[in-house]
Amino acid sequence: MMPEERVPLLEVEHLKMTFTSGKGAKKVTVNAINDNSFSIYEGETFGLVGESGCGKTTTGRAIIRLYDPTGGTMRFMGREISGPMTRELRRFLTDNISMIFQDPIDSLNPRMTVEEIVEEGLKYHGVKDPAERREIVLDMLAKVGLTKEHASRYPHEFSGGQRQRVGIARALVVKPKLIIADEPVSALDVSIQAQVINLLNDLKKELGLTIMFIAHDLSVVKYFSTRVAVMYYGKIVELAPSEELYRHPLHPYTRALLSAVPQPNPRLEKRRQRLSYDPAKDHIETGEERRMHEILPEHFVYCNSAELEKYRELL
Amino acid sequence: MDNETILSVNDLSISFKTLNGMVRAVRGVSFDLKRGETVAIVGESGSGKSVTIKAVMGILAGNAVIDSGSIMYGGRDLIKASEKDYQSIRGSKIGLIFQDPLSALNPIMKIGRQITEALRLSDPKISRADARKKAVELMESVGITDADRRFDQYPFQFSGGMRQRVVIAIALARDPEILICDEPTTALDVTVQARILDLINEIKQERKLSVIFITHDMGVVANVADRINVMYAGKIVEKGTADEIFLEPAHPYTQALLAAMPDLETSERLMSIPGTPPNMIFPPKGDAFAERNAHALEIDFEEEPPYFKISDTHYAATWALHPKAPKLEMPEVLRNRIARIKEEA
Ligand SMILES: Nc1ncnc2c1ncn2[C@@H]1O[C@H](COP(=O)(O)OP(=O)(O)OP(=O)(O)O)[C@@H](O)[C@H]1O
Ligand SMILES: Nc1ncnc2c1ncn2[C@@H]1O[C@H](COP(=O)(O)OP(=O)(O)OP(=O)(O)O)[C@@H](O)[C@H]1O
Ligand SMILES: [Mg+2]
Ligand SMILES: [Mg+2]
Repeated sequence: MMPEERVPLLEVEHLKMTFTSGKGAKKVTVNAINDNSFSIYEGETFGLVGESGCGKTTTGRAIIRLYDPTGGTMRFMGREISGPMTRELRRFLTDNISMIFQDPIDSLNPRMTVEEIVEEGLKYHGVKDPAERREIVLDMLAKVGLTKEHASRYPHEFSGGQRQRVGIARALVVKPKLIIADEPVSALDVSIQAQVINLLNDLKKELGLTIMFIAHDLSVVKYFSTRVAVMYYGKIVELAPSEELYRHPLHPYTRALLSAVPQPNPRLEKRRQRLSYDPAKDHIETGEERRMHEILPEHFVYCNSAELEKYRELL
Repeated sequence: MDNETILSVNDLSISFKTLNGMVRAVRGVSFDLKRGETVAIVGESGSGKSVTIKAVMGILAGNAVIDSGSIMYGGRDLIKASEKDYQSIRGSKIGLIFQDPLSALNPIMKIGRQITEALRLSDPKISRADARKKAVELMESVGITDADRRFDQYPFQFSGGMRQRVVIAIALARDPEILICDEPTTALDVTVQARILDLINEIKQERKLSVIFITHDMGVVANVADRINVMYAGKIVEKGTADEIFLEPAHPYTQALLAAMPDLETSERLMSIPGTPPNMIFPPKGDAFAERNAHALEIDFEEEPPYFKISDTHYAATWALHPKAPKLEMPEVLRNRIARIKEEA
């Protein structure tokens, strides 16, 4: 896809999310999202990576408005979604954006059958006729590789990979425009991870899905994503097409992260030099404020001019 | 005295009594551990990795039955060891780092004290100041920044990853001869994980420590392991050096496991393993992996394959290695990767 032809589905500008807890002297503020801007284009898979606690899940939750962002604006299909919550806006969001959760066990109601779980969204979606709902549900279950027989069973009767398929069916059944997949395979065995990744890939092609893929396994993210954003302590520090990011990592945090990805190659692993990231040492302080610079077409890195010069030499 | 075997597990079989019947969790597992080496045990969830090492540590659940086998350590069979014998082994001779770091820490004792107590167990004469200094050093070496201040904090003030680092510091403080790591880095970020793997590798070399490393991440295995045991449904289906397992995998399960994981070069469709692992109350006869293996032979469903020798260090239990069996085609993803690895060398 050429950059000019792309249609942004989601536009996020200066998104901020601050959590405060405690009172008075004990008050703690966490800048879970610290002024991030990015767009997700129709049909792409947008990968979001970064270490635990850097704000990935919070970003996903802010987009579907499980949180009220502290600042910034978000537009979805051209419509602003960061304003005051109304019933109508909630409806717009649930109709168009679905989330797949990290833990396939905790995210499914144990007292509902698979059919009921997948059907629930359709009810809110306004499909009134039970027979029609049933048909849509069974069709969706078939798409994720589950049968009619599975429909009447309960989540605990399934393996991890099968449960994650149920979660995917539930997310997809309302035909959302955007899927936010929050670590959908992290809790699964490698062999089952592959089933789920292949499934998401097939569905993406078949249904023309746009996916925001949150994960911390960088091999999986690279394999699966069109573009990748790297987040460090609430801040997106680098954003580039997947291949480009892995070929020319520029920000010292991205470089450290990539140097740490375990690879199934004993010869490489045994002689590998890992980089570590020290925010206090790995930057040039000039007093100039940092911002996102487009160092190559489509490749953005968060830096000041002096660092930009240095990064250019790395290219 | 390199090459000296310090732990030897022979034909170990373990079952669990449950309401539905006996779960055959471990079925004839054998492996050796030599001084200064790292042996990895890899395999799918439920394949019997943790049960195997719990038997070594003498901490099997109450409903466990050891059906057969021996675990030789320091000239005796640990299966016959009493709880009292074990008290002088656990921690001081054989250290264990668990999957779940929370259960390993005392929630109401300061982090620093938990480490100095461990230090004192192996060196009762150590002075307070020295113990503190050593503990802070250990904390720093496992990547806890600001260790001097954090020395006086409690576990709840630490994140999951940092707690796991504390658990590792405590295990190392006892200066054990064998360190068993049961998925010690699964919950950690890649950068922290990398630091901990480097740390374990370093200490291993410094102290001639022997390590048993359990994981299902093949990337991690590539990093730490000298030798690898691949487990499936309670059995070791293949064993070999790291190079042998990664570059010449022979068992269809090992191949499938490797092919299911993308690396940074992968662009082909991943090979997924259809189906689920067998119910171990009724372990299938023959090769337990047969029902998930598209290339299974008839005999795979009938008779358990013996170990076929591929080299002095490389064995696999699969009929695919029988001289009369058709040659097993490796999945494409894997063939490409292996070609790439060999080319780089
Ligand atoms: N509801 C909340 N109240 C207070 N702090 C929160 C809340 N949710 C998240 N945080 C904090 O915000 C930061 C970002 O958390 P988030 O869950 O988004 O991280 P993450 O990148 O998804 O991490 P992981 O990889 O561990 O899932 C963390 O410091 C977290 O402790
Ligand atoms: N106390 C117990 N009672 C009954 N069955 C048990 C018990 N402990 C373990 N098992 C069974 O033994 C088998 C092997 O379990 P084990 O914990 O060794 O798996 P594992 O290979 O460590 O898996 P994971 O990667 O998920 O940790 C599983 O089928 C498990 O359900
Ligand atoms: Mg998260
Ligand atoms: Mg285990």
